[in-house]
Amino acid sequence: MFREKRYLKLCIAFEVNSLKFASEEILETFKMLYVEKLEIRAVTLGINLFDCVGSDASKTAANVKKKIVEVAMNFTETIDSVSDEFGVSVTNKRIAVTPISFLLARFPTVENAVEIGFALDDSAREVGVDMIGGFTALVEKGMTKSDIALMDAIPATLGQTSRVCSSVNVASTKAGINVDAVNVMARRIKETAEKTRKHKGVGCAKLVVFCNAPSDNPFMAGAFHGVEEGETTVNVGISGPSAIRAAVERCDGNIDELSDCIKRAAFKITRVGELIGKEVAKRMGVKFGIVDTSIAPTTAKGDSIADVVEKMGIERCGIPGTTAAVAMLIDCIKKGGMMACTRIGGLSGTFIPVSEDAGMNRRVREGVMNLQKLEALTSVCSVGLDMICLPGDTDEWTIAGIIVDEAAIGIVNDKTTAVRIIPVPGKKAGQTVDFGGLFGRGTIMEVPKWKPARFLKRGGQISRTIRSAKN
Amino acid sequence: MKVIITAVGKDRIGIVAAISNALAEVGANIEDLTSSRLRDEFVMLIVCETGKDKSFNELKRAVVAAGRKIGMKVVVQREEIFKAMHRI
Repeated sequence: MFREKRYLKLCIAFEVNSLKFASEEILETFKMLYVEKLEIRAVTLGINLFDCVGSDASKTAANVKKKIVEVAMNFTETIDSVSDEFGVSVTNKRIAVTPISFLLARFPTVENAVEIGFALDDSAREVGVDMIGGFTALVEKGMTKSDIALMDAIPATLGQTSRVCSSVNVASTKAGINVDAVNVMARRIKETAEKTRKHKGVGCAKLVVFCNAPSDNPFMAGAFHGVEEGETTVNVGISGPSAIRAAVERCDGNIDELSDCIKRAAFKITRVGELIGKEVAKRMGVKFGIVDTSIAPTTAKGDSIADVVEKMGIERCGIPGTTAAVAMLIDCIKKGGMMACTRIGGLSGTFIPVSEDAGMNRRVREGVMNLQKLEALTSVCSVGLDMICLPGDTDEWTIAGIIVDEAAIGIVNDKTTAVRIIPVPGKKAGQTVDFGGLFGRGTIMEVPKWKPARFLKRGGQISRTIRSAKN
Repeated sequence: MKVIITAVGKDRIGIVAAISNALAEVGANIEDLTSSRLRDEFVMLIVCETGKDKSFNELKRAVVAAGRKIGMKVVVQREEIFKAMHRI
C-alpha cells in the first residue's frame, strides 16, 4: 500500500514535470512556425441553414443572411485572437453552409437560386470571410427540381458574386455515377467560364464536381455543411507542404526512416490544427468538428507538393516513381495525423491544384507533368484534377469525359475524387494564364481532339461496383 | 496563464535585462529562463506566468516592444501549443 502511494506521488510529480519543455522543443516549434512557415491553412465554420426556409425565396434569402451574420459575426476576430495567443497564423477563414438545393425545394427556380446565392455573397462580405461554400447539390443518384434549378443557376451565380463557391456531387461508391448530371455539369462549367470571360474564366475556380464529396471538408471551393452535421461546427485544414518539405530535407535515411520523419512532422502539425480548431470552437460556443490532414500547396515559394516529391528523390515531379512517392507521402501524413487527433475527416488526401502550386505548374510547362499523370495520382491519394487550365474551345463532351473518368476512379477505389477545371476563354494549349492571388498561374494543358460524346450521350447511371455491395 | 517567450537576435549587452524588465512591469513572474550564444547570435527562452489582472495581449505588447528596441525578434506563445506538439 505504502509503495503504491509513493508510486502515485512519483507519477503526479512526473506529470507536473513533463509540462516543462526542453530548449530543443521550444526552438523546434519556433523553427516550424517562423522559418518553415507552418500555418493553419483553413478554419471553416459550418452552419446549418435548414431553419432558414421561408414561404418564398426572398424571405429565405433574408433568413439565410440573418443567420450567417448572427452566427459568424465574431468568427474572424476569434480566429485572430487565438492565432495571436498561440503564435500560429491562419491563412483562410471560411464558411460552409447546408447545400442550398435543399433550401429551394418549395420554390425551385433558377432566379430563386441566384437570389439565395446573392444572400450568401452578402453575408460573407459582412462577416469578413473571402469564400463561402455550399451552393451545392447532391445528385449522385438523381436530380430533384431544386437540384436542377441550382445546377442551372451556377453560371449566373458565380458570374455575379465574388465569394460564393459551388460544388455538385455527381457520383458515390454506393450510388454509382449519374451520367446525366455529369453531362449537365460539363455544360455549366463551359457556361461559367463564359460568364467570367473578363476574368479569364475564374468562376470555374470556384466550382467543383465531386465523387464521394465529404460533408465536413474545410477546404474551398468544395466545402459545404453536410446534412448529417450538427447545427454549427468548426473544421480545420492543416498546413501546406513547406513544413513537410523541411522534414523530408532533413532526412537522408532509407524509405522507412523517411516515413518516420514525415509521420513525426505530420503529428506535430495536426496537433497544432486540433489545438487551434478546439480553441476557436470553444470561444464561439460551437462544436469542434474535424481536422483535415490534407497537404495543400499555395502559390508561395517552396509551398509546393512538387517540391516535396522532388526532395524525396524524384528528379522531376511527373516522371515514373512520382505516383509511389505521392502515395507514400500522404499515407505517412495520415498515419501521423491519426495518431495526433481522433477526429480526422474531410478530404485528408493530397491536393494538387496545379495553377496554385508553382512547382507543379513548372513541371506542366516543361511537359514532365500532364493530365494523364495527374489522373493517375488521383487513383492513389490525390483528391482530384484540381485547377487544371484547358483550352477555351475544349468541347463539353471532353469535359464530361474528364469528370466521368475521375468519378470512375472514385467509385472503384471508394475515395473522393473531384474535378475543378477551367476552360480559359480565348486561350490555347501551351499558353499561360495568370488568375492572380490565391488561384495562381497556370499553363493550358492539351486535350485530345477525339470526343467521348457517343458514350456519354447515352445518359443514365453507371451503377455501383460489385465491390461496393458489402452488406 | 503560462506563456513561453522565445527571443532571438544579435547578442549585445542588456538583452536579459530589457526583456525581464518588461515582464516585471506587466507583473509577470519568470519561472524558468535559459539562454545560449552561438557566435554573435543570442537565443533566450523564458517560461513565465502572466500577472494577476493582466491580459496576454498586454504582456505580449510589452515584451515585443522591448525586444524591438534592442533588435530582437520576440515571440510570445501560450504554453499549450508546446504541449500539443511535443507531448503525446
